[in-house]
Amino acid sequence: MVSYLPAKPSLFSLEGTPHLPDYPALKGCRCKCGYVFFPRQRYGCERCGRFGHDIEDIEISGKGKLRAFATVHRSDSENYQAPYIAATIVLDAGCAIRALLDVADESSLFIGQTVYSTLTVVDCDERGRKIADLRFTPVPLDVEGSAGRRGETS
Amino acid sequence: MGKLLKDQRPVYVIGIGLHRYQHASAKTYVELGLTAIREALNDSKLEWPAVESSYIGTAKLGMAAGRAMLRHLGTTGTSLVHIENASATGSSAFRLACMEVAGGFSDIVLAVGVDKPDPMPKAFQKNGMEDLASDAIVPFTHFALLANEYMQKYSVTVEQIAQVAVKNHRNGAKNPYAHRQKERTLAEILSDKPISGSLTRLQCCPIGEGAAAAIVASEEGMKRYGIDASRAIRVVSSVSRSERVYRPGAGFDAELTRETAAIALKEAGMSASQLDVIELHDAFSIEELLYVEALGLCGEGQAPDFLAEGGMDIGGQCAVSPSGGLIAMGHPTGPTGLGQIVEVTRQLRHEAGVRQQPGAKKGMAHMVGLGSVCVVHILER
Repeated sequence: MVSYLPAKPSLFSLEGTPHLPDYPALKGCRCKCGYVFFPRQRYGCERCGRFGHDIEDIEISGKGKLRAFATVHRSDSENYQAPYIAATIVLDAGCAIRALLDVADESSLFIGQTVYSTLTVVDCDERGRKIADLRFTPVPLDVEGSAGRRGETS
Repeated sequence: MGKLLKDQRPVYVIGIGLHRYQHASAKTYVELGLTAIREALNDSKLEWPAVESSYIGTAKLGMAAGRAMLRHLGTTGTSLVHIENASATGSSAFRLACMEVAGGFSDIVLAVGVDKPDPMPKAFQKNGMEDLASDAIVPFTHFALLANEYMQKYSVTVEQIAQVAVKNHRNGAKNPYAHRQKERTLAEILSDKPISGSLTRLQCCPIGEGAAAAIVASEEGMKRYGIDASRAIRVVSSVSRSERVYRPGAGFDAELTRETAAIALKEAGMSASQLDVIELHDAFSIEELLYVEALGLCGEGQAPDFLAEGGMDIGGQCAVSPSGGLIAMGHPTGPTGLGQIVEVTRQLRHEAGVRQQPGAKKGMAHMVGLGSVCVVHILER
């Protein structure tokens, strides 16, 4: 088993949720009012204004549906080399997020398609350990550079 | 409950001025701003000492831009306040100028927007929260994603969305103040440099430099200075709103516009179908389709047909962005919302020349700003 360092440990875990253990979980929150949100923050609930102990940390399963996607042809950030594919994903937990897809081109994508979280190696630290960032993919991958694994348990 | 603008003293736009929107040049912002202000003063037939208060809209210049510019008009010691509200900066400067006059604090007030494309620190990125890919999904990709969703939802083509840019480049070609002044064919727009999703460069607004100014006045102020009332255009509503949590699945940009425009129309006692002119926030082609539907000019999913039938052309039911909009006139940011007021005023005065919407009586200016905020004004002759 290859071990990774998460590129953004405040946003996702390498492990999945008990419900969906094979796909990296997203770190979100649930407010007492029922509002589920991502990313995690304790400043206060955007819907009702509750804060502090009224907001609990939750792990959100890395599965959802594509609402939209676009191939990005221009990047002004040195962290991302165009072209790449960006997407709006509605997670099964109910919140909509923006993320990048780990697919080579958009030809096989369609709106409403189920997508899963996966990890992709983006860098190495000074000790040679691989740093993985979160992506989504319609097909659960199991190749070098992608730590998401096949299979879903309920 | 607060009061409405139209329940206060009437407010009129009495002077308008612009410095052309253009690529960044060696000109200082001082020169850009003074050009627009002097044009507005000249247009209103006022001398600078008549102006009792100034709002300076700038999103990119940094701290304390105002007096360094205004002092060259001859110092008068009057109030000046800087306004930043992202893309709606100029709109908010205008709104505050209107409120100051409506509330009776001043009779003659200047709102000026000026910017040059300087990279400024973005406060909203200092909230201490990371995001998955915010630096990979910048505004043009946000709107490319909305375009993808819209095309799927209403079976709309890439070509139908690009037609917005065809219209706005055509309008901009007739506007000597526009950043882009060249007509473009659909083929040219579609084959232009791809930016994100279906959006090409010519469907995205150019961000350069420029300035826009509007002078607003009360009836008392107009009387005092003998201002020609026949060229004064009344501001009948001014509404400013911000994003909240909408029902799941709703696009926040369109929802915010829907809410803000509905309040503005209600306050003005109008329906969207009565508008002759709208200067709309079309930073990206898809936005124009989303917003004309949201503000009620046509039904959901009907904007591409409405556009194709000429309903949004100069001479159509409602001229949408006759200036060329953000896509062709440009989006220097601080000036943009005030540039819309300038165009709507010119249209309602029937002084827009080759861009004139025939018989224009009622006009709307609409800006959305990052965050998101939305500011809508309705003017009437």
